[in-house]
Amino acid sequence: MSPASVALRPCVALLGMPNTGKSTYFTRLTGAHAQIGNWPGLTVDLMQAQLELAGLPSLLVDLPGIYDLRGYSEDERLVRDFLERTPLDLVLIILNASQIDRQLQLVIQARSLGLPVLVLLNMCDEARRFGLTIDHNLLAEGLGVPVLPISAKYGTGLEAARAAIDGRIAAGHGPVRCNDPSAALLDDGALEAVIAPLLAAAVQLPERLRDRTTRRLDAVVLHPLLGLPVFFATMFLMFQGIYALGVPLQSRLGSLLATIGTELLRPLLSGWPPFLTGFLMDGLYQGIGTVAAFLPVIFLFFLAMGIVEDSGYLSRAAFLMDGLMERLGLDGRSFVLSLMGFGCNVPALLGTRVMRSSQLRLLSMLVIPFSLCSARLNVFLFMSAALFAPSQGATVIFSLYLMSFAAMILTAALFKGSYSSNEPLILELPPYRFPTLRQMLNRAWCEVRHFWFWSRRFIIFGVVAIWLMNNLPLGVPPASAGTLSGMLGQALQPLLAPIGINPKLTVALLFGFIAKEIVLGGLAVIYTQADPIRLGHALSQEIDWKQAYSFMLFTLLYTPCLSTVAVIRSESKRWGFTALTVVWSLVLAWIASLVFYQGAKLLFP
Amino acid sequence: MALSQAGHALSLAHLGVGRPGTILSVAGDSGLLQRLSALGICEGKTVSVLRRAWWSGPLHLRVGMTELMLRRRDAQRIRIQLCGHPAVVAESNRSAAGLPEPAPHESGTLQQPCQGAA
Repeated sequence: MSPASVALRPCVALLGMPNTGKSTYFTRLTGAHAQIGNWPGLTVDLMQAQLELAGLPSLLVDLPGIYDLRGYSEDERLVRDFLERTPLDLVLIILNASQIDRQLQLVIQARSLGLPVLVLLNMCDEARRFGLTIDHNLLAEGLGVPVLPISAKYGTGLEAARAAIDGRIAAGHGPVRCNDPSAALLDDGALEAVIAPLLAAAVQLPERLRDRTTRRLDAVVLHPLLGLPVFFATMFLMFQGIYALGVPLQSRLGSLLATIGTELLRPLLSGWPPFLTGFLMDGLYQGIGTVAAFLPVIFLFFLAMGIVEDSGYLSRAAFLMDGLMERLGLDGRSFVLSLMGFGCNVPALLGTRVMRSSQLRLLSMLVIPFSLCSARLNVFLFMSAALFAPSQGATVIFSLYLMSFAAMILTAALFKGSYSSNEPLILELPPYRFPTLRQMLNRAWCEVRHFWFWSRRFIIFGVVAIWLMNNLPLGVPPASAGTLSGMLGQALQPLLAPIGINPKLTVALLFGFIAKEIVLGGLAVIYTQADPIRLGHALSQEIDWKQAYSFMLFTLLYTPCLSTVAVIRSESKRWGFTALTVVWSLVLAWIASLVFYQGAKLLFP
Repeated sequence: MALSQAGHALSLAHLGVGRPGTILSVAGDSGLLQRLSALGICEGKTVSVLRRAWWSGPLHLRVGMTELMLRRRDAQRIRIQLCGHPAVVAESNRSAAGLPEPAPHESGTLQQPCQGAA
């Protein structure tokens, strides 16, 4: 999106504190057709979507959730910069109705900047349930801006809100840009003087919040002794469930794709030159098909993660783990981000922006890439199904999750001296919420789609490169020691043989540096088997379970993908630190695999 | 652990579970003060401790409509007075009126409370 086209159309920004349902409303308004966009003058990407407001093609930008326009965290600075540089036709402020007592300050701040504001009072259903009564008309009168009650989750009040937004855009007062936001903002005392009478007039707070469900659940979930076991048991059951449901789906889909390839596509290409059919079928189709077969598992995974995240359990996890994290030089947020990293490391790395101390950010960025992301999960699901008994599969996967935690703890313990910080940790513990089915499915679908679009580029590049290396120079038998990949694999044997990795696996690992999605597609190409079951057989004839586990350990621990390296570079703004993350993960991966492989060979000869 | 008598000034880290207290003062740099006040922790507000995490982990607090977690060492920057004592108002006015602003928190040692020891 070029700066010029941004300036021409009405531009609306979505502002709000964290945990106000901003993203839910964004999805409601835009129908999930959001894309990540670059903004002139800003170093980071923001979620944005095009939509029609009052008949005009407009742009809606979702700003990061912030508490205070005066703050100093990356996110807060980013929002200030955005407001300073971008002329806005409307700022939609989403408030969490049940926390109205302290959320109004954002409205007052935006108003004092002279921005055109419209307030959406979200989670009105929850506020009513907790015993709050808010007279939104009185509030609107007092604030001097329209206030509309909505529930983004259940979809109530959305038409009225939409009509009000359209009305404001149609009125066309022209875009507003605020110059020097820091100067116009009120201090605490002045803010309180404006807010207190407003609250007194328009809001009736109950004596005590009537949220007994949250109190009862917290008594168990945050219990000093039971809390952590309950948390890990929940995670274990969740992964068991994903595994039990997802793996049969994956193997059926894999076989189906393989059958389509042999029965349908191969006859179609029968007249083509063998090199070309080989390239299309054994290279592209097999590589992509093998990864595509895992999409159901990834969908289930994102579904489960989405529920855990939306329910409010993640901030409880931060509470439970903070005692340990503090001793490791990290904090509860680092732990939560590492959990989010189980989906994908990239957004988890970006999430460190909420931290103010750069040392804490760096240490978190050193730790997060060890989270077992969904791309690595693909490889592990496949390898454990191929080389371990079905009854052991889930345990193998769970052990890798534990190894992932162990690597993080070790890394933090080793490096905390170099990156020490004492940033205070203040984190909200929102009431428990259960996402609606629509929310859950929508979200998991978006994540899977994103995973697929994102990974497809890498997979196509990777499998094409691997297939070429496997079949060139012409004239030697494919995948033999005489091919480019065979020579490369052989050359690295002195380094990788001690950890049980053969030349074929070496090629897959090398390309896995670009992205872990390539590893599996690459193996399918190297062993010329698209059907996961047959690929599994082919693998199990060449390597034993010790080699397989060593391979998985190495895959888990070394650099996740080029994208994480790029994000670490852009977020830390340091090449030295970026190099450290790459080198350290390679060293740790090699040592861990060596210890495991040599140890296992001694114990189980 | 400080004794919890009504009217006694103590640090939030020592407030007993379930007993509300009124915030007298918060020490820290301006960025921290802003973040705390955005979440409802500022002078004059009533705060209560819902629970303490294991292994001297964070405190689970409630301020107004918001529940949040705060580390014990950060809670030590916050002076409170147990509710139900008339001295609360006078005390908080005095601190607002003219006691010196504590220096920004740099060295890692905790700020000493500005109104005498508990």
